[in-house]
Amino acid sequence: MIGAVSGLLLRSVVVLTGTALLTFVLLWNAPGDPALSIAQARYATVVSGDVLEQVRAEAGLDGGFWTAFRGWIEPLLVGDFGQSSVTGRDVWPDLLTAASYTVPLALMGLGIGMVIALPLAILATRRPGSWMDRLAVALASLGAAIPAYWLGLLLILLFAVTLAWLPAMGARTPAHAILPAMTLGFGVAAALTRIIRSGILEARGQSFLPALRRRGVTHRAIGRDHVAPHAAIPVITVFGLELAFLLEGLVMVEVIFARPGLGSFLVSAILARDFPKVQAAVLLTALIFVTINLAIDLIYRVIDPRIGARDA
Amino acid sequence: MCNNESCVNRVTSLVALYYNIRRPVGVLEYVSKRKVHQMSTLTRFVVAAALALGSAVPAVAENDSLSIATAFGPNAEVPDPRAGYNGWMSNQSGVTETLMGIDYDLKLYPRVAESIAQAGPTTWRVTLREGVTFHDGSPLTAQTVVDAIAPISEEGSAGHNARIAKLLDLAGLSAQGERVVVFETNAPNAAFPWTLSEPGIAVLGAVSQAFPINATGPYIFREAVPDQFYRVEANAAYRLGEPGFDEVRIVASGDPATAALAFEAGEVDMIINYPEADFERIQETGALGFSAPTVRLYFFTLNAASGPMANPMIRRAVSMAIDRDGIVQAALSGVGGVPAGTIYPAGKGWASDIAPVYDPAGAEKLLEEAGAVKEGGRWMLDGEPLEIDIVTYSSRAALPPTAELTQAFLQAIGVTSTVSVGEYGASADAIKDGSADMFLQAWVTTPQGDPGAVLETLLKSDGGSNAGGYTNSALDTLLEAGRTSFDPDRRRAIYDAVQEIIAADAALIPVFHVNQVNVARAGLMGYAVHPTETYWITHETRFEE
Repeated sequence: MIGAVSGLLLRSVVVLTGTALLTFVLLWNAPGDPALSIAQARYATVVSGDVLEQVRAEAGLDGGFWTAFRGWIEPLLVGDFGQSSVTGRDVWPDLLTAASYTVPLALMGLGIGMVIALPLAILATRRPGSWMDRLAVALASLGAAIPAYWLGLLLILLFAVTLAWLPAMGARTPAHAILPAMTLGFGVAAALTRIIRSGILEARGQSFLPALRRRGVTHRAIGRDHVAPHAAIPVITVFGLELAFLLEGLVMVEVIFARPGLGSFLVSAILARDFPKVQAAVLLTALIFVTINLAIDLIYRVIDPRIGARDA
Repeated sequence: MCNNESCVNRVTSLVALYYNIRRPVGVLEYVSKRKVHQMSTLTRFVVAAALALGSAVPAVAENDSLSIATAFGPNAEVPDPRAGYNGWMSNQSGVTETLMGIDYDLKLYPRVAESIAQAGPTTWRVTLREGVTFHDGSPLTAQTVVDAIAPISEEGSAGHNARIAKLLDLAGLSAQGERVVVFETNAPNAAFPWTLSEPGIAVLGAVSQAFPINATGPYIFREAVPDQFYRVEANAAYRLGEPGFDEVRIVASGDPATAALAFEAGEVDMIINYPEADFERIQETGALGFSAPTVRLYFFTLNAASGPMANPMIRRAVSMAIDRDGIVQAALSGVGGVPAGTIYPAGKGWASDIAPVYDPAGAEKLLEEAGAVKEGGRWMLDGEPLEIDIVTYSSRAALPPTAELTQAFLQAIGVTSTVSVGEYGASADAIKDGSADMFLQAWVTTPQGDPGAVLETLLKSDGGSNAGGYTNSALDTLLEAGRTSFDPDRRRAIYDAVQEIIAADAALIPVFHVNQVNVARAGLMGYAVHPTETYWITHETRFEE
């Protein structure tokens, strides 16, 4: 197990390093003058040529690619994410603030998704092909088909404008998180319902189950000890990836509900070509993906020891 | 709605209640400690949920506060008005004031200054008003103005702003007595008095914990949460009278549709830049609508160095082929703009009397004079189809449809064109390296009220933003004269001549002036759209009793 974990960690370091370099290369080579984008984001208006050159120098973009990359990576190695080229503020505290809005919202969305998906999938698989099963599949398809932008506005229209129960936008109180979390939750529920349903159906079709029944193993024990672990593997994969996507991909929900967060942090940084902020956000996102994948790999090994044995 | 302190407490309390960490407030006092322990988990959850929903009841509209939704929020907990473009929000919300101001007809007036006088080609003496005090009660003096403005030009200072430092171009700054500030510029600059209306050149006093932005405006800065809101309170001692609101809150909302719904829910009282398509309907509900042209101009920069647009006749033909009113109707629902014949909105400030021209037949005639030949419904130039590549960017919603409508109007007279939507810098590069012919942009053409700086950077031969490589020695001479002539009448004549040249030579093609489209709850008084978007509320803005 220790060897496996070490291998996974080593791979993670390679992924993070590659991500950092690749992101910097892409940003550097994207069309348009990065200094111009920074100046526009900083001053929100046109600037003269010499101010543009001053911005270029301040952002460390006047000495070529490797000078700029070294200027970013060297402080990072000692834990300094640098300052925003647009605002001059330290990137790390702002990144943490953005994450503090996003993480609870993502977890709430995932929680709502799980609360909807699990009973729906279990009900659906009691009688495959029944009206309940078809309804669950239809709801899952509907949830996957409705864009977050539209669903978010519909929820605002219903709960904020018509019923006047919940606030429409902002992030000042816990109540402000309910509608965005519901918007996310419905999307997550759609994906999870389908995966859990197919996982359970596949597990129930395993050839060893009739043998267990003939030996007198109870229906409940079969479900708990054999069907659930079997069905859990794909569910854990999707659950983990949904969490990772939610953590870095909330931008649409953040925009609709006027909430700060990692998504809008990253998008505004990319539009402004704010290298330190983009790099920090991308590294954090990569770290989230790597950590979640690592956790998924380890959970696989716990649920199904054969996976660890195969790797060994 | 859940937007006040007590509501926050209630929601916090119900979360605490659920976990048996009680901090009873309001109705929660009803649920005694003992009763909570007797509740089942399900019951506690239901109670918590009910209270959560109950905490979010809609706000009763209050006349002593104002909540304004706008696209951008502050970028720091205490945004220094001199840095970046922070000065705009502090000026718009009535916290900071400037030495000079621009009125609603784009005319310059002394604001915190009592007067401004030129003492030499590069010397300006600003006399301050008497009896002005900062929010902390300290008096405004010439030295405080010097202390506020000097850091703008000092690299490394918190108040440093390279853009404004360039506008000021100061060689010296000093106080003479209590009320006179002397500015020395490096070169003669007739636009200097206008520069002092720039919101970033705010009049600021010494900061303290209670007054982190210590200014002279009708509202006092209280708090800002980055990307969320900016909150100010009334300055009861304001020199022109008590402000109309106890509190004003500027709320960031990047999505206009959400802001519109929040307005209907009663969560905000006013929206800056309301969706144009819904403007008529919302007014039918009793809301007040405000729509007036601003100096934000949508225009085409043209590749005057190479390709078909290097020919002035083809440039003029293209300009005449564009139905600007059609664009305003289709892309802006008829309320989001006014067709532009020149750089400034008609009747405002420096605007010359030049009307927009839509004349497809005249455009075709000009193409013919330029040597183009129409074959099979398509115009050919030098044996090749006349093709025009249009580039633009998407950060302003009306840009791509405006480019596409232009394409359609050109197609209508037989000129083929392509539209590419990319990033701003990439589009600027495309026009600079000759791979595009027209670059649709949106700029505020006179942010400080003076025409010089923007026209120089856009159209002077060595202008920093003259991406199309336009050169015209007569225009260069006029722009130089405009910067160094101090007689107002002569300047007026110079910039009239500049606009005539721009129109006659199609140095750029103005399309429309953006209307700022705002809505407010019924009863709002003392508010009007400002053409430079520099001011939102004054001490006179209030709700009717």
